[in-house]
Amino acid sequence: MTSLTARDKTTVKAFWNKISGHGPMIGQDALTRMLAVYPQTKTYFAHWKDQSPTSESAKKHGMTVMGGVADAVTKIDDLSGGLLGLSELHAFTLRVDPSNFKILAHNIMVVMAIMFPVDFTPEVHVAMDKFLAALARALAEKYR
Amino acid sequence: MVAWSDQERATITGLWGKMDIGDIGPQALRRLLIVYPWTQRHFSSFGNLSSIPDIMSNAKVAAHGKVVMGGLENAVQNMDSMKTAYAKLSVMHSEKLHVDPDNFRLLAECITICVAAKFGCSVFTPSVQQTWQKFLAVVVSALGRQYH
Repeated sequence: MTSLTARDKTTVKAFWNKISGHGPMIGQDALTRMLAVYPQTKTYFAHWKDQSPTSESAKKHGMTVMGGVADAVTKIDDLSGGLLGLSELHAFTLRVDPSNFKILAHNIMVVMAIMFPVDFTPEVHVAMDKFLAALARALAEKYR
Repeated sequence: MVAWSDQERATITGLWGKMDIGDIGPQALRRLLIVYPWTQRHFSSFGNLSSIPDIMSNAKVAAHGKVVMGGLENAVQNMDSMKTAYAKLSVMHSEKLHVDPDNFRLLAECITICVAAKFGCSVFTPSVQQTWQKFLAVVVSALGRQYH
C-alpha cells in the first residue's frame, strides 16, 4: 500500500482541526457501532462486566481509542516512531488481530460521514482512509 | 440460506423506501473510484477519470452509479433468494466484466458511507447499520457466487 502524500497529510490535519472537539463523541459512537455491527470484536472485551455496545465501558474505551487517533494526527510525519509505545502494547499485550483495525477504521469513517456529511468529501474520505490504514500498519509493526 | 427477522426485513424495506438511488448511486460510485482508484480499471470507456474533480463531474460515472444502485432493488425484492436472483449478474461480472469480487465489498462500504451521511444518526443507528451491512454482505456474496 502507498504512503501518505503531503496532500493527504494536509487534508487529514485540516479536517481534524474542524472536528477535533467532537473526538470523544466520534470515538464513543464508532466503538458502539463496531461492537454492534461486528460482534466478533467483543472477544477483546471479555473482561468488561457489560460488553453491550452502549455500555459505559464501551463509550469510555471509544474515547480512549480516539485519543490515540488524535495523538497520531500530531505525529503524522512519523507514525512508526511516534506510536512506538502503543505499537508495543498492541503487539505484546493486547494482540488485537490487525483485521480489526480496518473494521474500527470503517466505523470511525461512518461516524465522520454521519456527523460531517458536507465536510467528509470524497477527497477527505480517501485521505482519512489512507491515514487510518497507515496508523493501523504502525500499530501492527511489532507483531512479528 | 440467510435468516431475516421481521425487524430486519422492515428495516431494509423502510430504508430502501426512503432512498434516492439517483443521489446515493452516483455518490457511492464516485467514492469507489476516488478512494479505491484501482477500481477505475473497469471504466476506461468512461472518459476522463484522472482527478477527483474529473470523477465528480463525469456524467457516465453518475449514470452508471444510478444503474448499479438500482440493481439493489432486486435484492430488496428477493431477500430470501438472493443467490438465485443474482445468478445471472454474478456470471456476467465474472465472465464478461472480470470484476474482482473484492471490489463488491469496497463498493458496499462506499454505499454505507453515503447512506450514513444521508440519513444521519437518528435513522442510521448502530442497529440499522448492522442490518444494512448484513443486507449488503449477502448481496456481495450472491454476486460472487458464480465465480469459478
